[in-house]
Amino acid sequence: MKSRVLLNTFLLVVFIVSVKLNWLRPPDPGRRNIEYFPNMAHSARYAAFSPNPEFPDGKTLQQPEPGAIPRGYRPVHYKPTPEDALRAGEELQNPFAAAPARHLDRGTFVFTNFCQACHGAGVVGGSEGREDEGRPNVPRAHVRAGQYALLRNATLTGGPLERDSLRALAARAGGGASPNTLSGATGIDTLARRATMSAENVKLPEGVARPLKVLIAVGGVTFLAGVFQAPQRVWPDLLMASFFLLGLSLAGTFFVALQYITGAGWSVAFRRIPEAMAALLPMGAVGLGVVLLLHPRLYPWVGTSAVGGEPFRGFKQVWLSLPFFLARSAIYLASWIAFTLAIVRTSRRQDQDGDPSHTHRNVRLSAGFLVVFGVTFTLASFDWIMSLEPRWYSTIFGIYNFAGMFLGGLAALILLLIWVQRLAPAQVVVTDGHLHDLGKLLFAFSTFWAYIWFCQYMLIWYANIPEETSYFVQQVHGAWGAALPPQLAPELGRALPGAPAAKDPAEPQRDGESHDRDSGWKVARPVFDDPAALCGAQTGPGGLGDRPDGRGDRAVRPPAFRRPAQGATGPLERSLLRGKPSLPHMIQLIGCLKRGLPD
Amino acid sequence: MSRRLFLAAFEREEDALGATQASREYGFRIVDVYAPYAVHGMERAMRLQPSRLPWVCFLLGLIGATFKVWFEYWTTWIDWPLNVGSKPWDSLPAFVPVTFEVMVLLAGVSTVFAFFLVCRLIPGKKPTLPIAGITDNRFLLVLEETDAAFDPHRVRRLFEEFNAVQVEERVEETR
Repeated sequence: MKSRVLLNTFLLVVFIVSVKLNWLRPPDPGRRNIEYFPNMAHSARYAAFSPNPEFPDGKTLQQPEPGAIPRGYRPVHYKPTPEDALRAGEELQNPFAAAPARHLDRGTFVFTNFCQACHGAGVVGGSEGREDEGRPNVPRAHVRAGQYALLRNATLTGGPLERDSLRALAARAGGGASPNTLSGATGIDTLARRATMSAENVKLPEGVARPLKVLIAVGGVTFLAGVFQAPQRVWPDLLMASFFLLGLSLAGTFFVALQYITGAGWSVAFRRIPEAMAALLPMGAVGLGVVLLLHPRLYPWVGTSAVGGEPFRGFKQVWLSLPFFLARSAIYLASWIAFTLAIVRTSRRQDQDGDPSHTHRNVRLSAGFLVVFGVTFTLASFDWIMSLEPRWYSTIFGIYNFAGMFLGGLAALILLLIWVQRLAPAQVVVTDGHLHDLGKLLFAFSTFWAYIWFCQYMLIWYANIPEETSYFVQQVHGAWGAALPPQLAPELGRALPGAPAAKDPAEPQRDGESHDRDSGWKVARPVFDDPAALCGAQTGPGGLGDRPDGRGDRAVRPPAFRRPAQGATGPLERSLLRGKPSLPHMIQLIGCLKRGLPD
Repeated sequence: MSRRLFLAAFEREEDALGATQASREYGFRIVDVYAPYAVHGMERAMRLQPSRLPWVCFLLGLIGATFKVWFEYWTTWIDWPLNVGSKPWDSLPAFVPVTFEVMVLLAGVSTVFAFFLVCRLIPGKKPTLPIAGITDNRFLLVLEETDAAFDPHRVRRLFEEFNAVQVEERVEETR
């Protein structure tokens, strides 16, 4: 009996002590419990993004079943059309009652954080405070693209989206406008009025169209005469002009593609203009095709395997064979034209139905175009221009041509933009802000161009390899440099836009000439650059560089160059080479540019 | 001398912008506007003079380029003529990269320092906000009473119209 009491007392003490011990050292909830037989307790698992052989698509993370609805989400069945927007306004109810003030507070908070940046304070479609930045206030990126297309379509064709229904939409949206908010209806109406630009309602005035037609006729006659009278001048000229045209049109496509790929919204308003520039692409292709097919002898490597007493071997022999050359050229041109057509067609289709998915399609197309363009344009400039002098090479030549091409394209774009704005002032969405941005882009690219140009020039100049020197010897000692001391000529005459050195001093100054320092020069730049490689390669000193009055420097004549045959520079060509577009309206346009671009 | 200041804090950018614009149109003298970030269009609303920093940048860049061209001429032509690949002493193309770099260096660095100088920003400078911490989340417009025609009631009305969350009147001693 006594021993039993003793045992029970002992057990009680043990119990109390163990409980007390537990208090003294509380268990750590973060510690894993001891596991016996852990073999099946933790099976190895796949990481979310690791490949998975168990599923048919080989991924661990699986898509939900089609038609699956997320929790807490009620699907709505509306299409992105104005009718359905109206219907949605009728049928949908705000799930939140206005009664507890916290709903409104929460809404205000969310709107201020996420919506106000684009929509302005207050209501949808308001545009106060943002307007003066020079851009109409519309939502960003893809939404904006779709909206513009919708509006343009509606106002052009009298399509399903009438202005009244727009206004109704806006009035519905803008229930309680704050006092300092522009009403939504006004905002959208402004947008609709501004977005009516299209190719159809901008017409060339007769006063411009007629001289242009005359010039086309004159050009055709001159070309035909030149084919028989001075073929050694005409073919390089046609090549040069075609390459220039190709450059202008490619700059259009490149600009559009660049805007898509960067998700830029600011340029949507005038996208029609670069698209129109891209329409020149087939013309340039035809001109180039004529040269390559009818007169391939322009290229000194055609029909021979040695130029300048040095036989081609290996890669150069394969690369510079006529069939391969023609096939390459066809591929370049075909891929550019295909991409341009696809991008422009998708953009036009968006005009019809206003579907934002077209924007996504164009983003993908643009990405493809940029990759293809980067490779093909480099190769094309090597093939078409650099191979005119097969022993001369520069690996930066592609970028250099691209810089000139895009610079010229941008300048042409600005000129056209201002011009179209003049032709149809009420119909273009162009503000000072747009012109400022384009001007900055132009400035940046002229710097880029100068940088690339100088990289090429200085490397060749420093290396001083005999077969390369012809490039800078002509620039320093040809007619380009005759107007200035030889050391200054290349820097001032070519690196600075519109410096007087590059003008023909034999030509008397005309009125309005000082206007063309800016954009006119840059349009002409590719034409102006190419002769150095192109016509220079063809004729050397005594050709373009040598004026009939014999003031050019004939002392330096690298042996690689041939003497030109008869036929001095024609007036049309000379005017082109001086970088002066001989169209009278261009001069007027340049004046517009000076006045149109602040600063 | 003392001057009387009117301070109004706004919660939204649009209100601050609108109030500034309106104050200027009414002819009130705007002392300054404090904002957490650069507000687009504010310099126009305040009618600030265009910044003179570009001139500093341009002039210092010009000086840098000129100095460097002179220096290269001096070293390669006058002080220690060195024949590099039989080029003439005065080979301008060879000078261009260094000239460019020095021009950019001088123009860039001097612009930053000129900016600090103009703003009187030095390391360890104490913030001099009229209301401590106001630019954490609000916009502050400061007006000054200029003459007897200045109507404080109108100012208050204007502030209210633009949803000012805090309006304060302050007399500041100036020497």
